[in-house]
Amino acid sequence: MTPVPEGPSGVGIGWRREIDLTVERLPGVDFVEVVAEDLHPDALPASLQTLRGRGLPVLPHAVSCSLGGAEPLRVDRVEHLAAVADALGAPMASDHVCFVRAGGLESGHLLPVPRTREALGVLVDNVRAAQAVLGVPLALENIAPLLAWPDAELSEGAFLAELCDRTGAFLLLDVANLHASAVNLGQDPDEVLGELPLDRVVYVHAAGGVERDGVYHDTHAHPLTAPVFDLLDALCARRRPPAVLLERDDRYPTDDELAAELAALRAVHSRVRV
Amino acid sequence: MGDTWGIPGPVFLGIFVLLLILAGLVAPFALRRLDRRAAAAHGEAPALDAGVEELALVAGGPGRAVDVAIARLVEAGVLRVSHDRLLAPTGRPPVGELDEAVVDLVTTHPTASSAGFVSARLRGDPAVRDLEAAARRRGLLHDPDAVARAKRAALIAFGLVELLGVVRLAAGVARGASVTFLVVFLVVAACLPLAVALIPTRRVTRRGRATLEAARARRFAVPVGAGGVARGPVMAGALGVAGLVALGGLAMYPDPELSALLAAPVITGGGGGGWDGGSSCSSSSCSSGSSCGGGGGCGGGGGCGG
Repeated sequence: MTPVPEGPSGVGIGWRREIDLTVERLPGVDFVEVVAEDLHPDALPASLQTLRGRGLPVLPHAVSCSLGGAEPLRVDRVEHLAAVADALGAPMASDHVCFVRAGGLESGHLLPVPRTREALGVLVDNVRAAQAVLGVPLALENIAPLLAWPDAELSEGAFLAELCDRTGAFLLLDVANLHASAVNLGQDPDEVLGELPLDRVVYVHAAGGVERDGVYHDTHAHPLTAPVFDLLDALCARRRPPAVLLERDDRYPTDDELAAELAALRAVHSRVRV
Repeated sequence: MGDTWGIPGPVFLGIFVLLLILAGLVAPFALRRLDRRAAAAHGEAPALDAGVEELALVAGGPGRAVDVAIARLVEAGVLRVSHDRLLAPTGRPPVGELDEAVVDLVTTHPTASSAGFVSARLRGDPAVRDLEAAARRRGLLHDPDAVARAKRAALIAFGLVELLGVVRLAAGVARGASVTFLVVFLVVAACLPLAVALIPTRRVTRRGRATLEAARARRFAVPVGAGGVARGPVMAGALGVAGLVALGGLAMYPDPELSALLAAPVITGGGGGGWDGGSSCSSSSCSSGSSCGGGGGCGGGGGCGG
């Protein structure tokens, strides 16, 4: 059912050094994702080799390709992602629909792209250039925006749909980020789901966050919240994605709590819907 | 020319050696006296209600008590360990003063907190000192000050003998007598107090050793299963994970993967006056008083925790 050959299925978790042993020992992990920038393709951590040895897919996820940037694509970043994907034997790789640098400055954040025809054209060119470097299919992730540029010409759903359509890229759909857009930008997540090409979703990200003063922060340092589960449920009701992955990047809870979150994701993901 | 002080050289050397032997007996006798006094006060029967921290202190010293806390926290999911050997808090609250101190240290030193680092840093923590005081009150450990006094007495005895030899040397040299043998004996004699200096001031009482032996026996106890069939030794059965670590250090943590990460090459604690851990010395090589170093340095075997 996965749109990408050998793509992930089931439930996964983001592998991080701080929880490497935990991830190896957690029950119910079908695949893991690693931040490509944290790895060197020639010196993969032994923990990842262990997981690979068990037959678990290990998927690289990049944060620095800046595919939405107006500047020439940093091919070296894409080449690094390609090398990591290759070293991991990964069936696919991913980055975000965003830009992270401009005018020679690194923002350190994933910044939203204006949803205009012009910006879409830039994205399409960059994604095609990245695809030419990568040896595996590329999936693109929607980010958690704290703001949106004015004068949008396209809705987020239509923007992403056209991006996928024109490039053949796949979607890495983050339901927590969808929730962030809903809270921070007043965007109706159900409307976005209705416009997205759900058949191109390779897997789903779910992460915890907090709402402070009416702004949702996608912290990856808090437990999963009910709205995120609800969005995953709504997505599955429309079309069940092949896989869902828990992202946790800080304040790692006990093994038991992580296992419980994975089990909860699995329960929603595998629920029989009629 | 007659003999110095009217005593022939060989005779003096004989007396000198005899006095050295007597001085060498001061430490074992003083320590034995301490042992007897502690036994009179608390008995020699094992304290079967001793807690894991007390077992740890007796078996391996203050660092071992910290190891017990680490093991307990890892087992309870309060701390996790990763492949880089670092401990990290999970957010689950610790219970107890020492456990809180461990979690505090790990939280404030996220990039350094291997089990060895934590153990070395907290072995002198007030929480550990409180546990040591409790173990002393229970009669498992000697008062380190009393042991230090016994050592001091032995050192003074050696000092007096050496002084006698030096005075004889001066007198001999003044008279132009041959002093070669005396100088050799003096040099050798001057090295003997080192053995006394190496005696640890943390010393286990007879009751403490008996308690440790009883705990070791319990560790290998054969629980009788249903129907009266012995199921074989269940290591963790009687004492739990913390108890195993108390007796044998983090290498005894019953999960081999975790024990390899916890007991790995570590920063070892301070040297002088340290602790000959129970595990490293538990074999027969150290069980008798005299075999563990010259001059009664390990007299009574107390430094080895039984």
